[in-house]
Amino acid sequence: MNTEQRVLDVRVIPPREKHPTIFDTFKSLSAGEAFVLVNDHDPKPLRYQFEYEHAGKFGWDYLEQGPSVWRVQISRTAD
Amino acid sequence: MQLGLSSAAAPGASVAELVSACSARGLSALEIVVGHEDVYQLAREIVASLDHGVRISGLLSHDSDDAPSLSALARVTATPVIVADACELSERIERVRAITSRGGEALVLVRGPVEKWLETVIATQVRFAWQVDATCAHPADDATRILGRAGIEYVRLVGGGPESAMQEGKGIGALMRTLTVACYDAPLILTPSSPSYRVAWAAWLGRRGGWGCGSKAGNQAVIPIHSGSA
Repeated sequence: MNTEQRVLDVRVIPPREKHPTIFDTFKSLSAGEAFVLVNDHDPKPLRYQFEYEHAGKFGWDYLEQGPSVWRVQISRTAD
Repeated sequence: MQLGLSSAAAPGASVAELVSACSARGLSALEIVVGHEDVYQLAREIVASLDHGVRISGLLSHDSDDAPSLSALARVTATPVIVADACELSERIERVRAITSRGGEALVLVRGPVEKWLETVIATQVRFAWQVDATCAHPADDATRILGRAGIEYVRLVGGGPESAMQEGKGIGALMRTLTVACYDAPLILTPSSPSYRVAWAAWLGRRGGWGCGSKAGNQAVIPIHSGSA
């Protein structure tokens, strides 16, 4: 799984464009691929949205949990 | 992707203060804007900051006609100079060559419509730093065009940070997606779009009282360097 080189840092993205950008990035992945999401807070609402829209098709693994930066590896487990 | 800060965001701050601010914000890279005084002091500050988890990614110079000093600074700090002079691209490229011929790393700053600079930098084989600003109407499309011809190794994003909410509709989300899918793993440096936002940047960086003492209030986003001393 190639995770080290795909990093999406959403801290520079305007608030209303963050989630669409994250889901566009997720949709560009093939099964077995992943990216690391970087944010300045715990993206729990995003996880709920993933569970609603992509239940059973994504992986969610915290790599770092604050206090200034959260890193979450989001993987595509199925097409 | 190494999100970072330009010292233009806090012109009164020392390198150590900037590194500390980057650490507090979870930023992994720092670009230093250099001027024309005390190159040795700046080099010492940079070298002293190297083991604090923040990479000094570039030395932005708006007046790079002192190639020997800038090349020496680049060599000592193992950091590339970014030639951002307000002159024609061909002249900036010559200034890059003047630095690299003395053993320092250097990149030419490019901005504006891709068709005005991409073929030139490819033909001349100079390394470049790409600035995304108001002259870039479709940054994701431009990134795709650049990536189709050359690698991207340095991006400056004018705005971002506390200004990111004002970037809506300017294609920043699409740009970030494009860079992510392309596995971009180099610096992406945030810098203010105008000195008038410095108070907002200082607050964003956790320094509501501003940087340095009042005597530095007149600084123009420059940490000066000088080749004549020592």
